[in-house]
Amino acid sequence: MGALAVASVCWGAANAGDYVVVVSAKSPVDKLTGEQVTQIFLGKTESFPSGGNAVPIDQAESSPVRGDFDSKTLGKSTAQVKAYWSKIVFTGKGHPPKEVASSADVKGLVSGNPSYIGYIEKSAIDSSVKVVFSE
Amino acid sequence: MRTDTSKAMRLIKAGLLGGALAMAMPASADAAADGGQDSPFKLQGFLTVVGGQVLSGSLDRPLVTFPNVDDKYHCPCYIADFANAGVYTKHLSFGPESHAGAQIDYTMLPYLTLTAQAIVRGNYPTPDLQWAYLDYKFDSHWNVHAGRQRIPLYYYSDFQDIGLAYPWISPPPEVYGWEATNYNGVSVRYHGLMGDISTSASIYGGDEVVHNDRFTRLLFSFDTTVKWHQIVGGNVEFNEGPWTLRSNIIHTKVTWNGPNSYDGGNWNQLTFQKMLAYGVTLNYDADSWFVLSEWDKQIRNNYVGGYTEKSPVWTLGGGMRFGPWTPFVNYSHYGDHYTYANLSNYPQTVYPNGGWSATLRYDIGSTSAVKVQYDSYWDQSLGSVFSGDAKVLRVSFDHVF
Repeated sequence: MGALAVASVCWGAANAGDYVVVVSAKSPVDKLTGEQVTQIFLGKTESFPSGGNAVPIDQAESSPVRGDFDSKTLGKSTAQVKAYWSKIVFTGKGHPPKEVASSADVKGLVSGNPSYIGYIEKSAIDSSVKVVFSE
Repeated sequence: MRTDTSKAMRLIKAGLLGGALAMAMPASADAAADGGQDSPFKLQGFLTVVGGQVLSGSLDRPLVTFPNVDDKYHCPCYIADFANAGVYTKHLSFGPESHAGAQIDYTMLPYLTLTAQAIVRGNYPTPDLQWAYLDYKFDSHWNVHAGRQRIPLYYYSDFQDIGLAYPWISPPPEVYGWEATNYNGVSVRYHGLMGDISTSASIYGGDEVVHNDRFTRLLFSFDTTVKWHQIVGGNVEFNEGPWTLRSNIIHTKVTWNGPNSYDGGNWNQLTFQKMLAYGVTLNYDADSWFVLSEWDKQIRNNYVGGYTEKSPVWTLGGGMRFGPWTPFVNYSHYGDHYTYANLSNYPQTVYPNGGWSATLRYDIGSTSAVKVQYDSYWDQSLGSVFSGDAKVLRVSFDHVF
């Protein structure tokens, strides 16, 4: 029983950061590469490769998936991402993506606007969103 | 041992006040989660507290050696910030580089934003207006800024005050720090993608007048007014994966005016110059390790005195990341060559200086960092050295909100 409890904790921890990048189910965007997702979330482009506005929605640092998204998809620690945006913000070149607290909040925004793109835990996928990238 | 911790405390209070104001304002993230409208106001800021002390040096005299000068900076000393006369001596001090800033962005229309940023510094508690401009966005690639902005002279120039954004305590003074740091004018900006290459570029123009200039206070015993006028410049930056390549160029007329010259002459225009500066930056960031490099050159044709001053400068450093720890080692060099047009037989005079630095940075979460840095600086200016050799220890705390 003790071994099962330990195993379940480890399994839970391993899956805490599993995430996918999603857009609205009504969005014309089908698939994106990791580099294209990075370019949108680091403010290097405001458009999807196929056209149309791309508005990224980030999750708060307290979210269990935020750290994994930054390190695995953006290729930076959250501290490096913050340092990057500090340079951008305080030189008037842009602003970081809006932040929301949870995957539920991401879905609430993304599902209602084809321009929005965000990331959510795999377990949160439903018919209101479409997966365009996964690690 | 004389210290000025009161300056550090003043800045910490300024940073805490800014953070409290930021929390009191409606947060755009919260509004978005509720499905409501984003707030048109954004208040953000930054705080840097630096304590430093010269451990040893080659001089024992005032920094400015002209008659009747005050002994404010007694060497051995180290000039860490030329633009703000940030000088460390053998006494521990927090004034030379500590600063706090607040920036407010007001989105008046989806394509029109007003941005203003003010900074207070340890040695200069009266707020300086760094930014105050309107941002008009034509489309997703083009926008124009009109108003007061920072001169993007070299790579780190326009974010030199954001300690969280770079690995040193401050960008190398061998490269950074000149008489003017801001201008009033217009900049036209572009950013876009060419395949996987992210591109940004800008051209800008304007003027700046600085009364009681801090840079020239390191040279003269009296206050001067510095003007950079008919400024025209541009830069272009490419990013692809781990690579960053940036080039920059600027031309401006420069005048220094003082109440009297140091030799008692009657004219009050100390210098009139035409300045051309250009350079290139090449960085590689492989996440677990990175290399930063920059080379720039200033050419000043001085019409008072009839000489040309050429200042090639460069910096090269490398660091590694171990979780929140980032050790970083850097070497910087400043070269200064004077050529006298009317004295063809007069030899070139050269004022080289440079130094090594070793920095250890520790990230506290994602919004703060502590750094410890040791500098070994050499000054081989011919004739009378300027600030002399120095070994310096500094500790800093950076925070953004």
